[in-house]
Amino acid sequence: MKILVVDDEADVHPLFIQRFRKEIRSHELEFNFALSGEEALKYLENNHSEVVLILSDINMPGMSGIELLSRIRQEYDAPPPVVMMITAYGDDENYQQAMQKGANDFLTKPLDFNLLKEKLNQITQ
Amino acid sequence: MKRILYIIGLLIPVITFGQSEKVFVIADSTLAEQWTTLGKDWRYQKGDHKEWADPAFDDSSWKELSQNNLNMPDGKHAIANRGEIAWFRKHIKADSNLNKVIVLNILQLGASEIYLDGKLIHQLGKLSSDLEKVVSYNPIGQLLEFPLEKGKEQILAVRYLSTQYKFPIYSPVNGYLRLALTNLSNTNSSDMIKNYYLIFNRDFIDNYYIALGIAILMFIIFSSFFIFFPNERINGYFATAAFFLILSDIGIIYNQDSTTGDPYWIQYCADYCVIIAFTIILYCLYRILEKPLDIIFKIIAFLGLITLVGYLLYEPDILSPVWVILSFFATIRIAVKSRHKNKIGSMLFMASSVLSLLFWVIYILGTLGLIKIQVISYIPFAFMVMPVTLAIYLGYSFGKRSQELRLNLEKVQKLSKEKESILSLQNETLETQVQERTASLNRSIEDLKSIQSQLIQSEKMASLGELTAGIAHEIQNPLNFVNNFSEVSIELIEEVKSEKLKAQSERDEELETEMLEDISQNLQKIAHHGKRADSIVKGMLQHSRTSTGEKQPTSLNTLADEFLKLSYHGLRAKDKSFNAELIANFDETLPLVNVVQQDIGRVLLNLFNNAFYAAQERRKLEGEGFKARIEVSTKSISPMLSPNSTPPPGGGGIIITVRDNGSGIPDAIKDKIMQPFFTTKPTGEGTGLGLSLSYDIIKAYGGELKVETKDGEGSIFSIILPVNN
Repeated sequence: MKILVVDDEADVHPLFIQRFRKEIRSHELEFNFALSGEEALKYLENNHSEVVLILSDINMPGMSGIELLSRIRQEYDAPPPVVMMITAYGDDENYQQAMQKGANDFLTKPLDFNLLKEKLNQITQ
Repeated sequence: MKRILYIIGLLIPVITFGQSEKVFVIADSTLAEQWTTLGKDWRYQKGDHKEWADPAFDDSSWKELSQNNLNMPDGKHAIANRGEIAWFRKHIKADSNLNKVIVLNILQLGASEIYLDGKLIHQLGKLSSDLEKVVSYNPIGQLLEFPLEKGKEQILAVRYLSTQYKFPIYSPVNGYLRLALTNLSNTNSSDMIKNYYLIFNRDFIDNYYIALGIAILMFIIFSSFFIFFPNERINGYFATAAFFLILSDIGIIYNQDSTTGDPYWIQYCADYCVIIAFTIILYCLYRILEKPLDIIFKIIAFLGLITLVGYLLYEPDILSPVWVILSFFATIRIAVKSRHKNKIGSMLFMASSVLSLLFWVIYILGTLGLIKIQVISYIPFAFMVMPVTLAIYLGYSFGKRSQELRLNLEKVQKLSKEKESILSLQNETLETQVQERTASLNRSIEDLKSIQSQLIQSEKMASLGELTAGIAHEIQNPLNFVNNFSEVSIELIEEVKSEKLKAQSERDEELETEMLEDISQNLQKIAHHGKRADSIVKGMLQHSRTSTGEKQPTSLNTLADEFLKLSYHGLRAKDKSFNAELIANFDETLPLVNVVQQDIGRVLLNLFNNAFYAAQERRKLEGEGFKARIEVSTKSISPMLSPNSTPPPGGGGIIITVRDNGSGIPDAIKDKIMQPFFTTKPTGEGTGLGLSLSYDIIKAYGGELKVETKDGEGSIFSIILPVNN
């Protein structure tokens, strides 16, 4: 399963690689990273058919996660990728907005990787 | 004036005795009470002959005459015309009982010789057929001896030469000669009738001396007034009038004392001076009574002028009183007219005119013999009444004005004293008020100072408050990483451990190495993010600290980057929907700059906050489609490389530019944005101190804070800092 992680923090990359070392090794999961919404859309242009899941931060300079979500929902509906929003601000407003724009799930920082793995397992099964 | 006396002398009712016997007999009783003119039973002959003095000469062929003025028997034609000689003879007899001494008085124009029985008893002047040698003499006022023999009839012969030629041809009196007698005791009497000529003549001259004295006094006083106070011109006019009066008086007195004849020009001038004086006086009256010089004045002045010529045509002694009388009428007229305006002046001048007129009426009546009062010797005073009145009035007005001045002065002094006290009172009040105000102002200044420091603090706290959320986010992120990396590292270490426990054959050396490398990398990450959080907290603390920090070499790139993010997240914390593209163009060669981080941090924070605010405002106007973009760039500048930018003093510097595509700043307020308390934000949201403080901070570094903006398109704020420090 191909997963695209969108976050302006570059250190997310090593973190995910290490956290999902086993899954990557066993080729269960494949991670791609984008540092901004714009970069994510650019990546999706070429690889949207492969990407099954998108994990996106909301607070990013430039295009925000919510904007990215709505773009994805507009442009890629067959098959619609699973989009999970991650944010440091786990408030209700952010959640409502994200769910309204069509997010599949909503996670708050700091990321509970065990919870994330469970959710990924649910998706793959 | 003398001539008028002669005329009057010829007219006055001196008793003339007439006898049927043609011989005038003089007895004690004849001359008891008066002067008696020898005016009857004369015989006369024109021509000249020594024998005619002889009593034996038979004059029966001579013409007879009975007239006071012997030279003009019919009152019209003279016997002896200009420079001619005539003889007069008369029979006269002193009574044998006569006890009194008889004296003779002669009034004449010319020269004469008086013979009694052929014997020359008086030589009056000098007669000659050569007019050059003639000496005129008028013995008026003199008592002449008359040595009659008692009881004997004697012949009184008069040889007379008329000096009428010395006078203008038009003179109504063509030479005159009059002889009068009285007894000596009469001449010592103060009785007017008894001692007529002597008294009036003496009084007349004495009075003229008095008038002259008065005139001189007035002239001195008023000319002094005028000299020392030329503004009061009326004094000058009056002094001039007095001067002409003096001239006139001197002329008349001179003439009066002269017995050798009448220099006609002196008399003429003396009389005319009276007219000049009274013309000036009339002018003064017009001025005093504030009347315009009307037609009446002009007529009178003109008549005065005509009199100048008239003197050559008629008797000046008559003309000048007539003219003066006219001037009195004019005076009464203007005095009546101005009786409401100038009561005192009007009364005075009217009274004086009436008095003068009254005098002249009495004089004329007396002259005509209608009343028995002779006032001729008071003529000098009559002429002085008006000038003296005028002097009195001038004195009065001078006194009155002085009085008014004194009162005014007192009033002014009183007023100025009052003003002074009011002023000093006001000064005191003012002083206390000023002190009060100063005290309250000082208090206000103290209050303002404390408020200012509070404001500065609250401005800091406000910008900090805006950042809280951003800071939380900024700290949260590194903390998350710290947590995540430490968790993953713990897991990795467990994995490495379990790998180590495996048999040699099963061990994946490559994986082990990879994991160890990851751990090491993770530890670095942990350290990095730990420091990152640390620096954010430190920055926050620094920002809120009131005390000035120390200068330290600072990377403005890092500082700008941090505060850009802080500001951005701060705004996002409030407005979740807001998004902006952040562009950082940092000059990697930028040198470290020695600054107090919290100062420059505050400036940057302000600029970023403003930039985001402006972008947010524009987004509100244009909607979701608007892409906010905030760009920060740093650049090294040197005077040589960038001639266009303002060279920082002392050489090179750095420039930090914050560019936004927000709403921009309208031209109208562009000049105000650096002013304290100026804000476009709604009340309560901005302190209006952000840019002002920023400006002050950059100035304190010797740098500049500049702004370029276009309304509706965005703004560029530039911080230029010198790096010589």
